[in-house]
Amino acid sequence: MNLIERQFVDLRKKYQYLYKRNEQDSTIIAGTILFDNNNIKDKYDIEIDISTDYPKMIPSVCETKGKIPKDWHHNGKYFCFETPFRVWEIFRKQETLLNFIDGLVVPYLASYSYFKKTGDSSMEHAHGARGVLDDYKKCFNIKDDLLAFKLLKLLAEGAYRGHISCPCGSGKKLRKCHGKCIQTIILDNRFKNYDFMQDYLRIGILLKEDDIISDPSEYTTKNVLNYLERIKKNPQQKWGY
Amino acid sequence: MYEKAIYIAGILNSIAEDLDIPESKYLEAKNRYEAVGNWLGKEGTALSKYCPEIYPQGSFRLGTVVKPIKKDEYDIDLVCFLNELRKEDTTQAGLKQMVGDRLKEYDRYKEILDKEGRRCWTLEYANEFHMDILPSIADDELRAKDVLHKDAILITDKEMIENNDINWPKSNPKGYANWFFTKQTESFQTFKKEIAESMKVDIEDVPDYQVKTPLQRAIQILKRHRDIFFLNNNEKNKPISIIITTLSANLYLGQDNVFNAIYDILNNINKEMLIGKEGYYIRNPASFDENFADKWNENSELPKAFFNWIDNAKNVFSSNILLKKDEIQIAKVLNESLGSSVDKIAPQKIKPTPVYIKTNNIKSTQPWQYK
Repeated sequence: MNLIERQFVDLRKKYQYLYKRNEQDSTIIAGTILFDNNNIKDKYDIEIDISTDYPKMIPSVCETKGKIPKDWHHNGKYFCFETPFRVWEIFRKQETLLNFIDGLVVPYLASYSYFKKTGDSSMEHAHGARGVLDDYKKCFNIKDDLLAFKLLKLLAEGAYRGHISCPCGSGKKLRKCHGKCIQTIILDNRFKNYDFMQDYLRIGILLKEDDIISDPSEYTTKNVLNYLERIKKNPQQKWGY
Repeated sequence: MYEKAIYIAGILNSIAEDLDIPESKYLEAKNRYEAVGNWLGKEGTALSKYCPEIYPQGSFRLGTVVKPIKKDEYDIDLVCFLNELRKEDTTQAGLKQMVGDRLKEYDRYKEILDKEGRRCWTLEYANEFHMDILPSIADDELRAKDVLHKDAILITDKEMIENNDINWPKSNPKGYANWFFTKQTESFQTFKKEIAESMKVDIEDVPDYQVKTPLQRAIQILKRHRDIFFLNNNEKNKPISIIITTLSANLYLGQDNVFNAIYDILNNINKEMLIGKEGYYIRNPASFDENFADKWNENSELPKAFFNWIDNAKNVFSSNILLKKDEIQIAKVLNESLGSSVDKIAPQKIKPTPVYIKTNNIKSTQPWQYK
């Protein structure tokens, strides 16, 4: 049995109405998820597309009966469970299909059922880079867009130096201020291969558009230019979260 | 998609019900073998001092009976256990003869007694039952060893008798049945409760034989599929029922419908798990040294036939093909592979009800979107 087959056995112990088939370059798990979220009972027919790169590549999921409109947190036909950062945080905690469904798919579906029933969308992220930035602000426990962006730069550049003064402007040294938070993320195995540069660039563009950054050259370091060069050569890497 | 799965499960349930022994026949068989027990143990006769006891074993005991394809006769396997006879005081030949002689003392039994079998005496109730009676005594050595063997028995074997082999063959049918029922304890209670509710009676008033779990139904379907598959295909290589039953019970995960149970059983059978240090190995869960697959190691045609059959069953039940078909196509596939006639089957009494998975962690994530 290969990894997917083994994980599928565990998955079916809980989700009995999911069935597997093999296609040329991927494994498809299709079926119905039935859940009961604090008495909101609902069911969705879904298809999970697992590439041969799994678990390096996180599976994509779409719905097959069109209950959820495509303008509700979708990327093309696939669900957007969370910001890429959080998707990694949740999935990489335990790279199994069961954790994937429990931690990402069911909460996503339950959120839609909740939204449909109550009209309350306060539990959803803002779209695009704004949502990602909000997430980092929460993560760094900081309210200012630009300062969060500067902290993210440390993650994107992957160069942590504790003695520099903290970008948040507290006047303290980094290691005595936001350094702890940054280092926790750097040391977290889940984010070892996470593409922070991508988030950094996207938020950079957003802040430029919002006139929060007036001089982009200040943020366009050598690493950034190298990264852009790489993407130009391999366009498919561009948004390969 | 779950609607389709439940629909197929409903049909499979009906087919299995049709293959099963009907309640009236079940009760009749029970009366018949109890009568045999009374005859064997009648006070003042040769056997009575050994306190004989008759109890069912095999599919009749496990609730996995499948009607044979061509005849209208059910196989009922019985153990005739002589409580008070010790191994030291008898021989295999003596035991076998003692039971046979007592049966023959009754004209009716003498009339329907088949010629002596390898291990059993057989009563042929034409067009009704084929009752195998297995003479046995306690395996005192094994019983003393551990609780797994507390009901272990010694049985007789005609070939061994002819070869003057003094070793007694061993068996443990009660131990096996106990093991089997532990594999479905939870589903058994759930389904028993459902029956009680649907019949509006107390759960204690539902007899156990009326309860059929998805595991029992799955075994019936798989055995029937095997019977059909091997019908014109080297019948002598047909995998034995105890192998199908053991593997199914081991792979049953408590699924709430028969389709899902079969799907997982077939999906999770693989060659590697059946290979031990010395070839194919399927352990009798009620005995440490019995290998149900021992014949596979003497005849390579047997495992080959088994895996051919499994591949065929996978194609029918676990390849998603069935889920994509419409109702007419589903009926066609099932009729072909199970020799049934689905359109004649009445709607089943109890529909499988899917379980809604409880969740409460939607606050742990927030949906997002690229643009």
